[in-house]
Amino acid sequence: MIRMVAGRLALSIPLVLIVTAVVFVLMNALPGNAASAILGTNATPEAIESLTRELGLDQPVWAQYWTWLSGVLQGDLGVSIFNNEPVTDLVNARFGVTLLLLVGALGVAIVAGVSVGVLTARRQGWVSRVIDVLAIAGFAVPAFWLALLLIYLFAVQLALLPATGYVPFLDDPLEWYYSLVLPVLALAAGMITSLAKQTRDSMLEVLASPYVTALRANGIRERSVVFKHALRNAAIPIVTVVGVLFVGSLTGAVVIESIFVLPGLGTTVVTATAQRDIPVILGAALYLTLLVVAINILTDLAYGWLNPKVRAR
Amino acid sequence: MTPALLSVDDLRVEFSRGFGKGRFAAVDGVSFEVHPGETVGLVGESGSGKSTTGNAVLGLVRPTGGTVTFDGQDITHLTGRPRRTLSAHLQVVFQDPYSSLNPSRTIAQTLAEPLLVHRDLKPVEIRRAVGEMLERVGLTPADANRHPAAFSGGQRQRIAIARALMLLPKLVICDEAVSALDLSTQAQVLNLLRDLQRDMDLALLFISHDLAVVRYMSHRIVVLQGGKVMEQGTAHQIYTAPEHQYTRKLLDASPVPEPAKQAARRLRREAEALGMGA
Amino acid sequence: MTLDSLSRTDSPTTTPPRRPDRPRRAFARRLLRSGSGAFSVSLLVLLVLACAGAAWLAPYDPLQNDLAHVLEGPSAAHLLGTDTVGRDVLSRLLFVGQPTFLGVAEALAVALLIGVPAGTVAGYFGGWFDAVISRVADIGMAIPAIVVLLMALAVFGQNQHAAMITLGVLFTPGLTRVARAAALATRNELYVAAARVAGLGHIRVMVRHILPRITNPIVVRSALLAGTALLVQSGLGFLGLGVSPPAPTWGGMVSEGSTVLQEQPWLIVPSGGVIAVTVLAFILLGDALRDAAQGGRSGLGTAGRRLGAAPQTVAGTVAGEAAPEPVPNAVLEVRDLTVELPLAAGWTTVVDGVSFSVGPGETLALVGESGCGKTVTALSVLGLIPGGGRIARGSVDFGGTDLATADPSRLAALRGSEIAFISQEPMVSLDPSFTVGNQLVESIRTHEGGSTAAARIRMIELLTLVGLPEPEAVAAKYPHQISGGMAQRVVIARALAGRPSLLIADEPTTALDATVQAGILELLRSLQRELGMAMILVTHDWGVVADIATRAVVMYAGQAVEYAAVEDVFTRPAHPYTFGLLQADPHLAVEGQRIRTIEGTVPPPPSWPVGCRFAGRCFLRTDACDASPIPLTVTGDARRARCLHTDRILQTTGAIS
Repeated sequence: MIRMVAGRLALSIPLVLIVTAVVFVLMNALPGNAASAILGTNATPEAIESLTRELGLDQPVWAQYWTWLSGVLQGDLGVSIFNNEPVTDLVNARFGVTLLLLVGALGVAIVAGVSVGVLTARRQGWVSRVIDVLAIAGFAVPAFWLALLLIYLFAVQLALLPATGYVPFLDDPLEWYYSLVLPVLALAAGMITSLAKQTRDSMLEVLASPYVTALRANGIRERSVVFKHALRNAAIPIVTVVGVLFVGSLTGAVVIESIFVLPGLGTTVVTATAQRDIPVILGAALYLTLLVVAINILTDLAYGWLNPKVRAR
Repeated sequence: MTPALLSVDDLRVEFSRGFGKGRFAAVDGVSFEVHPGETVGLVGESGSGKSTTGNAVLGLVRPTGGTVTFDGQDITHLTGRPRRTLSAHLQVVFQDPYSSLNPSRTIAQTLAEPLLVHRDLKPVEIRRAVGEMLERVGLTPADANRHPAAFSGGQRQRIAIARALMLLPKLVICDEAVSALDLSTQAQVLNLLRDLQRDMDLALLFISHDLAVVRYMSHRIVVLQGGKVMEQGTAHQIYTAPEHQYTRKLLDASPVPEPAKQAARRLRREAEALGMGA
Repeated sequence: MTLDSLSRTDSPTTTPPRRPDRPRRAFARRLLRSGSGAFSVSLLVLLVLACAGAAWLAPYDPLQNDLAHVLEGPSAAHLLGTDTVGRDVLSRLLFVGQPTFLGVAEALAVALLIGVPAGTVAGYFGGWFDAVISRVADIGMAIPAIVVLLMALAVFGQNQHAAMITLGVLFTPGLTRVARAAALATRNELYVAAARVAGLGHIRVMVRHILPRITNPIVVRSALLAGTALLVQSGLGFLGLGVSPPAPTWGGMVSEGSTVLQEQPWLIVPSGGVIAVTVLAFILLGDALRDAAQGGRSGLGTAGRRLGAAPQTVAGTVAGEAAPEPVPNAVLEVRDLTVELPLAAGWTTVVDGVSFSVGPGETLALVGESGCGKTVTALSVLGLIPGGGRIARGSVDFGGTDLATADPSRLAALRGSEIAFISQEPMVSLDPSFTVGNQLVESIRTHEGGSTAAARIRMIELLTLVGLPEPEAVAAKYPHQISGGMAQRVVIARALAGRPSLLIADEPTTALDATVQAGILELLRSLQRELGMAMILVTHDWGVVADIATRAVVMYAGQAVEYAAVEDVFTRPAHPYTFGLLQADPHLAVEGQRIRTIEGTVPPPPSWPVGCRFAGRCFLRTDACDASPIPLTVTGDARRARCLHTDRILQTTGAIS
């Protein structure tokens, strides 16, 4: 177990390094001077030279990366090219909302997806068919489109919830809650359906296994068979899927934040991409990658807790 | 006596227990010989190293010590092209009739495979060779165009035998070749192997956990436990006058289909247990 | 019993020569015959062709403004309406589709070019290749794709090709894993080992045996990845990244529509719809490809499926049948038990009119080869018929209750407390997630109630009873930490938790080594002596029958063909199948002589003949054998056999013994 987490951490260091190094490699792969490419055709030579120095483009690629990395270790992520704001402050201020959106959507998805999956595993027939259809639809319908439909229905037509915007919790808890309902739902929808399907499938597989037959043959009560034995074993693959879904939901979160105009890392990073503000993108990338590392470790811990074969190691 | 066809001398195969957990010897100093036209039985329980020994002879696992000599040639660490050339003379029939044939290829394609590598034959000649071999193992040439799914376990095992014999080898290793089969099918395949051995002057290395099957098939028997040879001798010796305690235990453990004999054995065991207790 | 054995109905000698089946063509046929396969293939072909031919098909110039007709809904002039500057939505969708599909193709091509070779090499060669490639793939799987995509877009100034090629690279780890898993599974197949032994080199083995097997999972995964690529691309387009405004992607068109959501909500429908439908088509294609690859293997129907009657529905009890008399004080009495399973051919009888009884302290063996219905018979007694089967006829009397008709709750209450069950594979009949002690305590408390502490004391008693020397230590272990022999003792302890009066054991020692088997048989015998249980033992091993059984029922092709006390079965078998099966046992082989065997195989249920089911393999066969069903006849004291030539077989066996 400890070995497993240690192994995961050992893999996480190259992960963080690779993700953050990508941008330096790409910048140096650009034909010509990256600084002039970023600033566009109308830039003055002075501006280009200043940006070249700022990005360290006059140095070899490993030196550029090392400069950035040693800054990171001291808590300094550099400054935004666009408005000279320190990236550390910017990212710190924005990370909370993104985390809230992601964790909220994942929580809703786990509760709803697993319950629906367990219930439909016990009752085959049309309910199961509906789950299959919804699981496919949940994947096929783009999250941003679903978000627009939700806005149209609940904000424009029914005027029940705000269409966009974010209210901090301390300003008004109720409004805070309302402002999060639609984004969380839009992000969670796809995860709910795929978790429901995964849960149902792995429950059905476990319920057909020889030890479940043996438990029934020896008179163990059906409730214990389903909720103690089957669910515990079915949870092992579900945990893995939750981890994968979470990493995948980052893409959705970036888009959802933009639609609902939430002040999170997603909107920041989209704006920075449009402005080619490399230091900001790097800062956001670092935070999001560390988040993925944290989630992977949590997934491993849950996996080990559920699976005695892993725990023993 | 003729020189040995296969000679295994002080064979050792070690496996890693997993990263940083050391190694253990699955085969630990095993020596035996197989002479032309002879059947040697390799018998033991799970973990005895009997299949690993077979795989080491076939070059599917790497020995960590000892030598394997085939037809006068040291093949212990033979790989690449020389190993492939050797395979014309050294063949195998595995246990599982369901995974030993590629489900997506026809029987003809499977049987022709060894010919493609070792012989330069025209398609007509290959077809004839496949048809003849199928008849030899009790199937029909028409079966060549079908897929493995169309055959029962016993028939698949016949096909696996046909594949092993396509190149007219000198030695065939049968690794639990009848263990997955039902009693009546098992008997059919055992008889087939004995007939083929006589007609083609084959040597067989017959690996099994089933002492009764090994006795029926073998001239000589090697008893393995924990990667070591416990005892070897003629089938008659091993079965009627076992010398090693483990061989006796193994013989005693497998129940015979004769209620009176079984009851007598039970009484003897109980008496022994009481005697030891007293 | 496998489906393969069911589908094989003809013997090789009677098979007419057949055209070789072409797996690939059959695959395409299966794909297009399934509803979702035909739908998705035709839809995708149509979309790609329409977008490719946009220059000829589109009714308008996609960039032609018409400020007199802005934000219109669907009409005859504009089938999908117009946008904010009056451009025809349908025309734009078609033109915009070109870069959209091109981007998807780019991403997929990159992923396939890197992922398939990497995964195949890792899976096939293993060792260092695998260690390195798998680690890299593990790291790659954890990369947050959106972050890297945005970085690429920032550096390359919103270049869509850069974004899609980057996406392809990001897909690589997942595809590598799929290829690796498939290659690894195939590498371990014995036919690959056989091909190596046949002298094929690595390249040949990969081309002939590995690549064909990994194609299917790769194609299935590619369909899903295509859908994902389209979604990611649309998301980027929606955010206004990766493309310049005059020629957006479909996602960009949704974004344009979102700005006028209040005025004209219709505008997001065509663009969002075409994305959803295309992704849907990719997913359905993936599903259909997977199903088509599995082909005709879909076999056993589920219980709920409506099935026609099987071609050979067996009519009532055989005329003149002399069913065996029940033993006095029978614990269990089964009469005329007939069980049907929903097979491909419809409801098919697999156990046909079996009767037997078992008394206290007695062991009844059900003997026969696989496919004869022994296990189904045993499980039917417990109401746990595998594969969604049902009891079609007959009764199962247990202490005055007919288990064949009892309601499920009554059956559930009897299981474990009155009738206990031990299955063939001890290792898989324990829940891997709980300790041995936890599972035993649960069983004890289910049947006896009481406190956990009391149950723990009883648990230690039981573990001691089944001969485990350190019960406390065993109780703390998980199933994967104990050996097969120990696991079978634990399973027996669990079966004894409810103090049952009948124990049903399905091949309890088949998966165990001989020396371990001897110990388990010894244990079962001593437990039976101490507890006075009745026992039903399913086995194919004559040695086990001789060792432990009191009486034997020999089964063949779903019927009981012989009943006899155990001594009689071995010394004077009255049915040619019993005789033949005993002769085939190598234990009884005489040195220097061939084993006498029964030619052919057990016929599968759908093709049982009307007359004697063994006739096709029998050396005593006459015309009368095939004419009508053979009844059981009395052949001696408490003996029955289902054969017209009992006297002849008894003469033969009498002469031998």
